[in-house]
Amino acid sequence: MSEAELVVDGVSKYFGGFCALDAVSFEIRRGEALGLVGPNGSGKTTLLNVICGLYPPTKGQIFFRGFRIDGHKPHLIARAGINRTFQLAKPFKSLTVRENIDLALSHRKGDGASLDEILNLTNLTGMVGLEAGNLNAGQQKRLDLARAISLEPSVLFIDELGAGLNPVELNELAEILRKMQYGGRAIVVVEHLMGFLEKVVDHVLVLNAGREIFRGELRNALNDQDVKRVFLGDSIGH
Amino acid sequence: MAKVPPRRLVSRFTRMVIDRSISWDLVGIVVPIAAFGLAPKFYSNELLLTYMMVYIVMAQGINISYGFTGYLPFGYVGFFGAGAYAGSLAVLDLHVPAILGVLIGGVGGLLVGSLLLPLFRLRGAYFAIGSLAAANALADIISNPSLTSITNGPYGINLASAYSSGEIYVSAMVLVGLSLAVVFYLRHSQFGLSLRAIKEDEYSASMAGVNVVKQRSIAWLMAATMAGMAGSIFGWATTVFYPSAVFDTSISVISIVFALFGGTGSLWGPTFGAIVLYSAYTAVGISNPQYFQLIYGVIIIALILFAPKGIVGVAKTTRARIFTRGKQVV
Amino acid sequence: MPNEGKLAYLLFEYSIIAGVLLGIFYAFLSMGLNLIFGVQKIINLAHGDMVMLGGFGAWELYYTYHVNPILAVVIVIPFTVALGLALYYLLIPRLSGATDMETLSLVLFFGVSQVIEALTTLGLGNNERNLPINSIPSHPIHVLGQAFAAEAWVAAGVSLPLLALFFFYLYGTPLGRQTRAVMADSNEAAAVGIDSGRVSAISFGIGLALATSSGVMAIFVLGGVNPSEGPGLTIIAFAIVVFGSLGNPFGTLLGGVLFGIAYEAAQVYATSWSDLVPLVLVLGVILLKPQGLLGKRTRVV
Repeated sequence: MSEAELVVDGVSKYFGGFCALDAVSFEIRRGEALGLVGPNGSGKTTLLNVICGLYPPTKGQIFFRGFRIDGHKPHLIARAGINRTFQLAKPFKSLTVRENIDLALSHRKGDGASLDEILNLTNLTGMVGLEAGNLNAGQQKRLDLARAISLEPSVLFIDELGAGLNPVELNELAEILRKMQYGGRAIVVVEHLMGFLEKVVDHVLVLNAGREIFRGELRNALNDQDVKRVFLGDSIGH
Repeated sequence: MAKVPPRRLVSRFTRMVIDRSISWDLVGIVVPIAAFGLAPKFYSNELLLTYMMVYIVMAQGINISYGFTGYLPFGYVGFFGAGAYAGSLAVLDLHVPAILGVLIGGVGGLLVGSLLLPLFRLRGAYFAIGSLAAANALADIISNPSLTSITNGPYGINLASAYSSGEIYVSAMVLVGLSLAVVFYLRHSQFGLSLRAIKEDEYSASMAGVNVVKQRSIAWLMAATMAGMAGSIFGWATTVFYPSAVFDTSISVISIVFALFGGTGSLWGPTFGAIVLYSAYTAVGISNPQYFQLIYGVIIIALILFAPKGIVGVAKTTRARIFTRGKQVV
Repeated sequence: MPNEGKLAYLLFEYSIIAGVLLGIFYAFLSMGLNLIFGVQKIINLAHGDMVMLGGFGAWELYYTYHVNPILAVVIVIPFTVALGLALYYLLIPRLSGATDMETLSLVLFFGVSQVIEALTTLGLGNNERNLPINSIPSHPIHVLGQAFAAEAWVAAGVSLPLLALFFFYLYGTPLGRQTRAVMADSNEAAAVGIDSGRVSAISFGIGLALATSSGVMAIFVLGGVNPSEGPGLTIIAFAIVVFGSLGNPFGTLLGGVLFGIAYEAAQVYATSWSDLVPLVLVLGVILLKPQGLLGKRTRVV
């Protein structure tokens, strides 16, 4: 088996006295797709923020291709090959679609997809000259994704990309992510929508209150007692 | 640096000329320089023209800091005063030529700017007021009687021996050209793109690979260096000045008003604002500074409430409105 | 004749007592800035100019209507509340939709500050005005064998009951409770049916009134009032409020007293550098502990 691309080892994060993440560990290899699931406040976004360098973990270590990356600046982590989208898409609204992608492309170290290929993949070809602020919500999400993949990340986190999209757009997106996974990327999908998860991932890591409560195949998760309890009344099964 | 093949160079140039905003900005560099080159033939008060140029540089400096990075330094005058003192003391104590003094003034601004880099950990009001406190503290230190042997304390500086109206005027023109070139670069380069991205969302920019701290610091140090050089030219032209004159908070205020009036983020706006409002100031304000203070106070309030993007912003919306109306008729 | 150790002790004792007196006054002077920030998340850069207006108000009242300055401290309050409400409804609603509301409001109130300063200078001239020292009790008061200027006692003596009244308003009245709810979280407050617009407007008026009211005493503490003193006072007030923690009224009380002691100590030990105290304080606090002394979490504006 190939070596893990990203290793998260016992990562905890405290804000003041509040424990947002409690000793979370996981690994992911190239070509894998993992679902990161949990109710609001379960620590998913905190985990993303720690991995992407917004703040350092309180405890634990993170390795990328064998190098320790926790505590490094976010732009270095992004350039190294880990990237993410945002739950609320954050394209640069006063910049055009082209400028948004160009900005990220200009910081890519090696070769990779060209501007046109990225536009094509994310279905934004006709909109290069538009200011991102003028795009609709779905287009802004795709631009956020375009920005994230411009740096050719080998590990890509997708944060609630499906929220607010219609079924056609969801299918489109799942297709894009599948393609990237088969292209050899590791993909972590942070998501509530089970319908969407099923299309993209086979394995999930379920968090609650900052702790792992389940790890394994998605279909087993749906039958797990702990998971059921946590998600009672939540959007599971929709 | 990679060599650009001649044909691509030509195509790059044509693309620049074709791109309306680029050629419009190039005109924005050439026209003010040419105008100041010719102005002394029609208007004899070179000192006022020099001051006007100094304020263009200051307004463009605010433009770099606020328009491109979103940080509004109420203490911008700190660099101006530091430059005035660094340049003058170099001329008086080290006997360097005054033109070299201007460069040393820039270094003075740069050094103070570096000292204040930690302020960027702060945002909004903290940054604005923190920078003002830093500028006032610097003024207090320089004018402190205990330091008379070094800075001449509250008794000021006399540069009469270095005065040369021609050199001063040309230096100011060069500095205006430099500041406009910097803003042009910011408006049409990857670096400027990074700054605009940082201004919108730091974290998102860093996820696009932008080194937020470094890029923002460079822009800030550029603005600080420009203000330092502007201050030393101001001191050179003024000949005799006191610390209270080159650390006067109203220099920050006026620069901010000029930049906001014209419109930040643009190249023309701050130049336009400085020329129009400084002319108004010389007409109204010199004998009665309070009237001018009243006018620019009202201008600030009106701008924030009705036209936060300045005159350039108003012009753009008006043009867009006329344009779409024409389209609808057809 | 006291020996050196004794002298050093007396100087120390003096700077502590004088500092606490000055600090109570400065806490009162700064409180309005904190109230307006707490409710609106706006730093009122015209705060110092309101203090200055209070001083001129007292001067007019004394010379035109022969009103005792201590009475003027109370008289200026209703006028300022009215002015504050007018300013609030004139300026704030237009600002609320803006994307960069925080910096824009900063610039806006900076403009307001410039207008106030210009109008005051145009109307009243650019020179410093004083009130006769005997318009308030003026006999030095001795404590522990040292003499302290009467105006320090009067300023603290006037500030303390007004501060107590303010805390009673904030913690003991329905409107004050609503105000604290908005300070804690304006969305939550709206959700439980509090009209946060009305609360904000009233708080704005009260915040300005605290400033003008303290301005009456500022004439005596600062040795006069002049139109250009506003921005300097705004910096001092900001330093005190941030030192104690933005949005926390008790913090301002603590910040004021510590500022007063630091200032008096600098006066005693390094007179020519004492003006640096508020500047060093503001820089030190915002760089080293931006959440302030009583801040629970980092709240960087």
